[in-house]
Amino acid sequence: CGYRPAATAGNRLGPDHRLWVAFIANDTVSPTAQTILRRALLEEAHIMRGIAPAASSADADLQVSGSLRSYSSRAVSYGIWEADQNHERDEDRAKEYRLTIDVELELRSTRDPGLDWKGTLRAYQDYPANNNLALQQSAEEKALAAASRKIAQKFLLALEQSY
Amino acid sequence: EDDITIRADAMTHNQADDSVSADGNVRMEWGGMTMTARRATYNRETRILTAYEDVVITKGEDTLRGDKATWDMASGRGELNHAVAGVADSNMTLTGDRIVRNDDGTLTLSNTEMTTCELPDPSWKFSAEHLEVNPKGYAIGRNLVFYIRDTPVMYVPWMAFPASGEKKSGLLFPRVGYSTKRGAQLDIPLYWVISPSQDATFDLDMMSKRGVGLGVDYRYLRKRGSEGTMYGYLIYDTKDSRWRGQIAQTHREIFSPDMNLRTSINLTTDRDFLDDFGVKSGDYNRQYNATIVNALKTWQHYALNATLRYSEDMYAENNRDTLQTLPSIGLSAVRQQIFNTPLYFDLDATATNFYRDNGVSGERLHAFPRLSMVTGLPGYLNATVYAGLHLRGYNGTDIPSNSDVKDTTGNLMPEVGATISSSFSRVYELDGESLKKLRHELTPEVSYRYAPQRDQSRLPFYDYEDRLLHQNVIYYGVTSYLTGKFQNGESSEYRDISRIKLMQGYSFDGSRRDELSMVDNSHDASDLILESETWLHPQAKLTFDARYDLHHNYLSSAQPGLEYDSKRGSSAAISYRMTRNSENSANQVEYLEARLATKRFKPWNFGYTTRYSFDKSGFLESVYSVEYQHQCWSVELAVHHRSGNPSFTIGFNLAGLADYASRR
Amino acid sequence: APADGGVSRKDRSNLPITIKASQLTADNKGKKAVFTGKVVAKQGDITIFSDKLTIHYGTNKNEVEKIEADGNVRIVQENRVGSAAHAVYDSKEGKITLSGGTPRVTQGADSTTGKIITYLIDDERSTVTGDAGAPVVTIIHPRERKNNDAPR
Repeated sequence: CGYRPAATAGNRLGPDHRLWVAFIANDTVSPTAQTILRRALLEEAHIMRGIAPAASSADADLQVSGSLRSYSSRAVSYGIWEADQNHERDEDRAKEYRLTIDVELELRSTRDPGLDWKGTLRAYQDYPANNNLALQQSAEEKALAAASRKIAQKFLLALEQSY
Repeated sequence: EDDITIRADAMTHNQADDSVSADGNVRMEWGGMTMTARRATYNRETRILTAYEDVVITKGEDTLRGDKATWDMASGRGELNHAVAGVADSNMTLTGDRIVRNDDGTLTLSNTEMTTCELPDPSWKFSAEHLEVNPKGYAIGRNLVFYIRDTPVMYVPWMAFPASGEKKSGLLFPRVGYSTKRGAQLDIPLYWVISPSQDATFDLDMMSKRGVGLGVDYRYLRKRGSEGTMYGYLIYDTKDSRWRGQIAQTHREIFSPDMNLRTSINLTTDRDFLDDFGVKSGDYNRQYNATIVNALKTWQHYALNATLRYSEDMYAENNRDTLQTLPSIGLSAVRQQIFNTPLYFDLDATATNFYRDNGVSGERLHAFPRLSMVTGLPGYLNATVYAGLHLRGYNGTDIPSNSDVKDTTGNLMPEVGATISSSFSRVYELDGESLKKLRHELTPEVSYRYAPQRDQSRLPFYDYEDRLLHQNVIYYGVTSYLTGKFQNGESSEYRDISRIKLMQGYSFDGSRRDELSMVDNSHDASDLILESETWLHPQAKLTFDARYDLHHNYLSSAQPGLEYDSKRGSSAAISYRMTRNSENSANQVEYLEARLATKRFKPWNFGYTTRYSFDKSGFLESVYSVEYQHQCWSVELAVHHRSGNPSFTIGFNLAGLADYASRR
Repeated sequence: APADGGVSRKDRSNLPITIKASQLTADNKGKKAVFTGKVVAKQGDITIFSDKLTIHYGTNKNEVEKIEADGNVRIVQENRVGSAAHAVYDSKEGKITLSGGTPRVTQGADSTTGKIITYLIDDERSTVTGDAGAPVVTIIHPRERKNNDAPR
């Protein structure tokens, strides 16, 4: 049917690379984004392209670095929580949030400079509000992990834009 | 120092006084600056250049016009009489008897007039007895009078504002409004330039039903990588007869690319402040204010972060139940290869000190080291298998006597899992009018996770890390990516067309917790989960996420959304969000939000935003705005119709000088 | 020679002219003398270099009415040098007119080019005129500043 696996699809990023991803620079209010983004990039590179992480940046032929340009949560739906006695306007309460991240990424290849790439990617993930703020914060962390996977997927797809 | 080139119809060298005089179409170029005039003389001894009649000086895009100009080549000091100066990027024109260019590059103008309207007879202008414009693009004026057409309207003893466009446009104009909660409102802003790297906006906010408030919006840029903003507001609220206010601060200190400190402080004096004084949705119905301090240090393999988080929950009756993180220290390692085996080590460890007034407080250590084997048939079948151990230790205080939570306790809980995936892709050759090629990629993925049953009732409950699930669950799904190569004219560009993900989970036993959804049925087979994003057109995007409940045979959750942006000022967006939860009625929502902004009917720009809640089957808020945009000024009327609190504001806006939208 | 104080227009026509050239053809009937080959003519503080120099005498023998120079003409007076393809020196008026080629007058480091250059020797003034197509162009090299403030 013409669909070929990553190994023989003639992708520019085949499985024969060794990838190093530095911690993503992070000066936002998120305490963990530098780690979650780095892990998502390494995991997706293996899930989609079969690329294994390198032991150190020295022995990798693909180096990825980047910085988190923005990290913001915004309420995307409002409604009623269970009736609350003394707050008369409890029908306009945030029910779901959207976490949006903008990440600037750069790829350097020591083997084939044609692969070098630089750009800014955006991804978002919705998550529910919770009347227990600690549980809502935990949901926001899961949303960050999901948004980071989408950033990694968009990055890997952007690198194939030469067909 | 480069040469002075003078071109003219005729030139006379005069040996006696060592001068050159040029007549007819005189054009002088010097140091990137061009001066044209009818006549000019240059004295080689004193190095003074004088130009007469129709003098035009252009440097870059800025122009200065006058009837006589003298220029001292030695000091760089120049003077232009009966001058008109045009600042290109904010299209501001300054006219004045005399414009003097001092040798430090600043311009001083005496009894000058300033406007961004086209001359002659501008709709508005400022006259200033003395105005100084410094090279950083700041203008500071004294004894100014603001005219509408030719009638003086306002006297301002002193004023500072950015004269060139790229600075935040700062001259702000009073805003008039009315709302039931705040009564009649007059907000007078004043822009204060402290130095090119610091500026502040003060505004006096007078409200008939609340009293007089003072706002300050201060921005500073210190040395490399050290910058911040501070917004403060304070008012003596005559209705509640007490002081009320708000602080919103951010600071960033970048010590080095791998070490920084950043703070974001958001505090209000009382829990209803935002509801009473907030104007926009997201303020008056805000759920919580968080004050966060983060420090981060990364090495090649490890990242160490410390974070302090204090939250104010505005939906709860009081803040005594809110859990505060004072502080939390995290150490993590990512995919660290063990020698040169396919084994990789990952670690996420945090030590946290929790505090709340009501309920258990105390310390928690949670470390989750794990080993992953990254293997498979590279490029055909990619597999990662991992095994890890949750180590948790607690030291709790304020434990109620009847509870079975222990003051010091701990727990070990293993977790294993695997992910298997592949990716298939194909490029279709099309000869469409602009779509030349289509690349389609399919990524099937199966992930499994197992964690045994553990009795965690002895552990304090702060968040889900204290109630790790017994799970034996498999998730399977496929993601489809469609991108295209588009040709327009000579250039070709690649664009994303769609991303569609379909997924489902199945629990063999144990339980499941999907923290990204309000609804997750408790049967073995989870809902069918769809995520989709499709670009119908480079300016129009359709999103549709949904969950289909196989047991009740209905959509348990659906979020269709459409966004359009003409990139020329017109945009529209509509999103409907529905979640139905038969097991827990609090976790439900049905809500619609629409936004429309159009500049198609120039000079009238219209805006409409509405938020409709099906829970209440009524509009939560509608905002209607109409702006009349003249060449150099605009007036905007906005009507906020918020249940029980309609209000309107009228804002004036001097093009190029005041830009209301970006203020707060 | 000490510069003379007053700037009155003097009739220079009877100042002696010394001419050096490799060849002279005199036409005593036509009252004209033509010098060719690296011609150097000096009169007072003016020196004219050219490939060919033609002197037109006035009514009596030793009164020079007009001098024409052709080919790589250079006229030097103190630190002012004029150059062109053709020059006419009217000694009665104390006026030299340069034209042809790229007429140029340089003074110290500054230079002006144009269509026609007119030297008024006694007024110490030279006027350069252009025409529709070619404007007059002066390039001035600002000398080192007298007071050494920071360069702009």
